[in-house]
Amino acid sequence: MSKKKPLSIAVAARKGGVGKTTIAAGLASLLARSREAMLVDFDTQSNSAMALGLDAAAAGIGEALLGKPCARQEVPGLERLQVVAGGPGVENPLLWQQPGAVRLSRLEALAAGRALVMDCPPGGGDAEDLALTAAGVLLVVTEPHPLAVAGISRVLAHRRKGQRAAVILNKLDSRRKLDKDAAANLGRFLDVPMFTVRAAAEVSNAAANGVPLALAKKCKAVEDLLAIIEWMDK
Amino acid sequence: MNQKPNLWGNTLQASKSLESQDAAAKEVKAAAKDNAGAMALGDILERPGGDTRTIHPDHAESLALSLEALGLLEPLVVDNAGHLLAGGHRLAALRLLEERGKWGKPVPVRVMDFDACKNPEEALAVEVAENAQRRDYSPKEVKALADRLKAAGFKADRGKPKAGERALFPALADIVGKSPKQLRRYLAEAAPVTPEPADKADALQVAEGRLAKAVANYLDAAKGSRAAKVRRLVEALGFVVEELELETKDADK
Repeated sequence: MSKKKPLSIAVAARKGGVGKTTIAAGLASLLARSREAMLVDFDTQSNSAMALGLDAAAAGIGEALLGKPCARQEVPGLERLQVVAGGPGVENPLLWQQPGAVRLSRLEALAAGRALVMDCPPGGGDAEDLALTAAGVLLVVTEPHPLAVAGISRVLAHRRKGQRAAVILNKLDSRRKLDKDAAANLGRFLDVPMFTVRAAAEVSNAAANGVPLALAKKCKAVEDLLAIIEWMDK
Repeated sequence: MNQKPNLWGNTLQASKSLESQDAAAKEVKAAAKDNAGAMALGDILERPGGDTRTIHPDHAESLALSLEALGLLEPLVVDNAGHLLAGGHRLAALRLLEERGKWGKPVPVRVMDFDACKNPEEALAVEVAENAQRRDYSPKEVKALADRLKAAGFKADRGKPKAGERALFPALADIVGKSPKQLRRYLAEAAPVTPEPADKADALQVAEGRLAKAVANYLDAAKGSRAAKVRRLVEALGFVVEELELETKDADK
């Protein structure tokens, strides 16, 4: 039986605040129910660690990509999940001046065969480029608003040949007309599959309290994320 | 509020023009990066298959002195995994300085976008090109470098430097890739001073010595590939010819 390559997922968007970190941390924690997983935060804000109740200021991906030691933080109650924080180290120019293959091989060595979820910073740039190069699956997050949707194709334009991609329409509130319209019609204009993740108070509560979604109160958003994992596992 | 029937299609269409701007911006950034790479010294990997040219410890040592005073003026060239492609002596010199606690900075590099392990011919081509075409420094630039070296304690006196002294012209020759004699001429052009007597015997002796060494290397089966040996021989010949030309010009005056 041939062993399937572990998932490697880039979660990206042009606009900030659309829920990249929530989706990335949520997916990583849910993946860790069934496999060894790692969440890598490429954002200087280092919110992923915070959302999971970990140390956002620990030595993180900036150090790892320079070949220095970094903390692989473990999440209480989710033994199979490791988290590598972001932080200002991501902006160290030396990181991006070194040859591309060097940082890519360091990232792969860091993941060491785990399912990898990479939380990209908004706005594109070097970190997103690296994540997109390393990823087998690109998930572009948007919310049901034209200003967020406008960024979708700009991220998809960087997709590698043969790379699977999908759009996640996040924070969907079916009571709102614009949201309903996006859910019904946006997919028609995309050449990749679109998934919806419904807005749920449980999601923001979990992040605010540093609780991984996999251990939080069950909600619609978790069901939606599980459907995305099912698609990626196909 | 009614949405326009194709609000989402129009939105995506409108962002298309930004996509081409993204692509153009990416190109500009990549081009800028090509000249501004940097790596930690410890991350630079050996040339796959080892050095094609013998690293001369004396040369590395004198380069180390000038690197300490001037920094690395010409970036090393590496492949996309950080294997050295050109700058073996400069790398050896940097390592000497690091051992002595005198180099802690990132090393400027130019990254060539290929893997030397998979493309050995391309790697050799870069090495040869880099060695054959050193940057041509103008007399004015040479003068500026000489001034910085002098400020760092290098002496321009003729003959062997006294113990503890560092000689300006050999150091400058290492950096610029021209003979000490030619450099004296450059400095004279840049800032006319009283002409000094030429050290013909010295320069010719150096040139002959270099040629003799290259011939001995060429005949020694153990020393490197045939291509590298031939190249060294040609380089040495060029050096001797250059010296002879200078002598002839001097004699004509």
